[in-house]
Amino acid sequence: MVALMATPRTVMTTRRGRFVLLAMLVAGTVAACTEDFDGGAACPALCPEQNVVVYDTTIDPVELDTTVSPFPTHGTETELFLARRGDTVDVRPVVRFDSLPSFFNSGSPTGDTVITVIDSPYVKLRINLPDSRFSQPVTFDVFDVDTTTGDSAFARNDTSTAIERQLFRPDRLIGSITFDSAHITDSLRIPLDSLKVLNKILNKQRLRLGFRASSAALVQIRIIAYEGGDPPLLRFRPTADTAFADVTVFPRSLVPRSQITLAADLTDYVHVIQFPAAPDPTFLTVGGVPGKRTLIRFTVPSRILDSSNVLRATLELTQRPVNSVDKTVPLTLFPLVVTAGTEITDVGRSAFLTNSPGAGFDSVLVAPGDSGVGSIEVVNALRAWGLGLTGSSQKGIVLRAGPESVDPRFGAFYSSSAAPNLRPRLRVSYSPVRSFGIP
Amino acid sequence: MMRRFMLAASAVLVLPALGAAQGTISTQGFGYPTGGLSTRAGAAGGGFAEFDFTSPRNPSSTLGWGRGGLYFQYEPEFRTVTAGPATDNTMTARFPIWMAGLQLGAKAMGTLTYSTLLDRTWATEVRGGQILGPDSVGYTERVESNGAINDLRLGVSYSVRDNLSVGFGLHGFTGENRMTLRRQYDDSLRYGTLTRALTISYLGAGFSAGATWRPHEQIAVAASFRSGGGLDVTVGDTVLASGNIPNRFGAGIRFDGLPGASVALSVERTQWSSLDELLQTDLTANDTWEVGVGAEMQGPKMRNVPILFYLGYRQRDLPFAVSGDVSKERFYSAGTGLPLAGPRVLLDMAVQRASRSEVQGVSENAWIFSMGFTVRP
Repeated sequence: MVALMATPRTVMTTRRGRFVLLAMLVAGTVAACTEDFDGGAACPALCPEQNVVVYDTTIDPVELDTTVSPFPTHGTETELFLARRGDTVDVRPVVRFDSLPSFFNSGSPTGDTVITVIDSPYVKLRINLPDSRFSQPVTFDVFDVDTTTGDSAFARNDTSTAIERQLFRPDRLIGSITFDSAHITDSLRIPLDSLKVLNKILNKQRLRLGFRASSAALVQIRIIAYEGGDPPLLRFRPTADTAFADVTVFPRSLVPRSQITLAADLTDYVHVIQFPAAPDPTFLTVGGVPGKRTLIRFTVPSRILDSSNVLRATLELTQRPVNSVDKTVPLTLFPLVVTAGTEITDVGRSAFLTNSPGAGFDSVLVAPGDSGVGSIEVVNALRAWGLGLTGSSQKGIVLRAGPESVDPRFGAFYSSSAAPNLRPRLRVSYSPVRSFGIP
Repeated sequence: MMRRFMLAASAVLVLPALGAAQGTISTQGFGYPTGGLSTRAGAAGGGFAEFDFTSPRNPSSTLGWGRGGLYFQYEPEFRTVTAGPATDNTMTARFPIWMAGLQLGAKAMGTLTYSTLLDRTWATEVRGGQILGPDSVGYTERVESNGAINDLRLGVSYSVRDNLSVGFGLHGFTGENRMTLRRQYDDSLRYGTLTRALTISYLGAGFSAGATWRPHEQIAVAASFRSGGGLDVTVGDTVLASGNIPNRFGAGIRFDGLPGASVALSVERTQWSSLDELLQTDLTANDTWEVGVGAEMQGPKMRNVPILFYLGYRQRDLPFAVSGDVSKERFYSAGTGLPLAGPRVLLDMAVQRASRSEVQGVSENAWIFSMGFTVRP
């Protein structure tokens, strides 16, 4: 019993220990707090020392401005534009099947079987339906547009519009079908003439298909291209026996043989047969088919780029109305900053080497038939040019249409060769770097 | 060829809300004077400041180290700033004193002390509006300051007689304020962000001396002064302004005649007005008085060393006045000293309640927690 009783000394020692423990706990708790010295409640009463000076200046900074076309470059479209709008717009894509199979696997123990007959050939098209326009039944005509030229020695002729556009004629018709507008889905099958396709196979010829659309009303069909990842396909049954599955032939261009990349580009492409005339080259044009871009290179004073914070930069362009189709329907334009270095002198390459649309810049809407001054905010371009990292980059802005080469609308602006009040201008709000924070 | 087409407008926008400043009463001007008080001196209201060996005010007091050792102090301040219906609650972490002591023979002590003279750590974040081009736009502006002017002192104290010691210190004042300003507009695609960054550097010198005399067994008096040398304010390699480190005078008296307790009173005068010529705004720097009184009481012993308890009160003027309004600061303080390993390892803990008188409709209060750690191996 005595052993269980605490002595006064023991009690005191325990209390001291608890006190020290509590003190250490308080110390640890306080020490664990995270620093946070953000305030502002006392402003502006106790925040009297800083003012920010902002200058608002309009300059005429254009070093070079021009229209560059086509975009995408010939054969690199991700979508093929098939359009017919009366006698105003007529755009026809071509898909190449330069390599057709001569054999199929019949299961024979002696090996593959030579194709001597085909059944139900058709070409399958994947359609960007939400962005296609039609309201009446649409007739799809398919033509054999193969030419006798086209080896590596005549590569340039092989893509000539002048030759192929003449081959969209009745004797070249290889398939045709009319769809009611309600039956046009995101996947279309256009039947082809079996005998004509078979002849191509038997004679080891190329099959190059040209597409034409017609309708009582306007028709604009956007077909997913080879570069879009879901290309047109040729399919047929290689025998009369219905037990066999279809053979699928992917599009392919074999020419020019010496340029594999260019040959891949020419797997499918577009011929512009008819299109509204664009303004002369003294104007800056954006959009249309084939797609046009506007490239503007700037010279901006170093006092703005190097010694200031650019707070706002507005590219002011004076629009020239054009007599385009859908001229009252706004077209989306994207400002892009040129990422090409100063050693790139070719304007086409400069207009190609840009950032992605929508990255760092707001898009703007332009109705082709409008006039007046349009404003495009490009502050992030000037801020990028002010960084040392971009010292070797061109100080250029590219204007491109939202969808390129698949929308017939285009807009035009006055260039630096126009009268002074119509030229491109840059309105800049900037704040010179000054010392601050000295009490 | 670039041609200037038009200089449309030169808009000088002076909006009060744009002000990039402290947003507190205590950190106006070059910053908050942390006071040069150790945890235990602060806990006792600064009354023992002239006698305390870990407080860098009086160089003669460092004989109290007795042997070589190290001291450092952590002192977070939990501040509340109230302006009408708006309130800020902040926490500023400070390490106001680092000290190393080295015994120099039987009668002398050398110390190297790094303490904060003026702490300029704050941040404000405000909403505002501005006209850019043809449009007005809202923004959020954050201004931040980090850093301090610090006092590096090389000190020597010497025991002239059993009841008299003197001390001297050479001071180097260094430090910088790292300032950033960031104005983020609501539409970051249309408007660029305004950013500024600036580092303000300080370099100065000074000299201090002090003495401690015990004329009676139960009474001691001490006095010290610091003579401020030049102080340059630079940005990069450009000297923006030159002035002088403030002179400082202090005196104190302590009475040890109470059983198990001591009381002390100290007074300090600091000539902050010497910084006035460095100021580039309408702030003014004023000379200040500080008076502190405190008591130190012995409690139960741990390993034969008594636990100490402190109580104190201190008041002073803050050096930088806004529109002529000088804020007074009052402290109520308490603390304890725990001998964790006999006299070799001491943990001092203090809590101070600081209230700063209203300036421009803004009031400010703070809880300052302090922890001092002394090691004398």
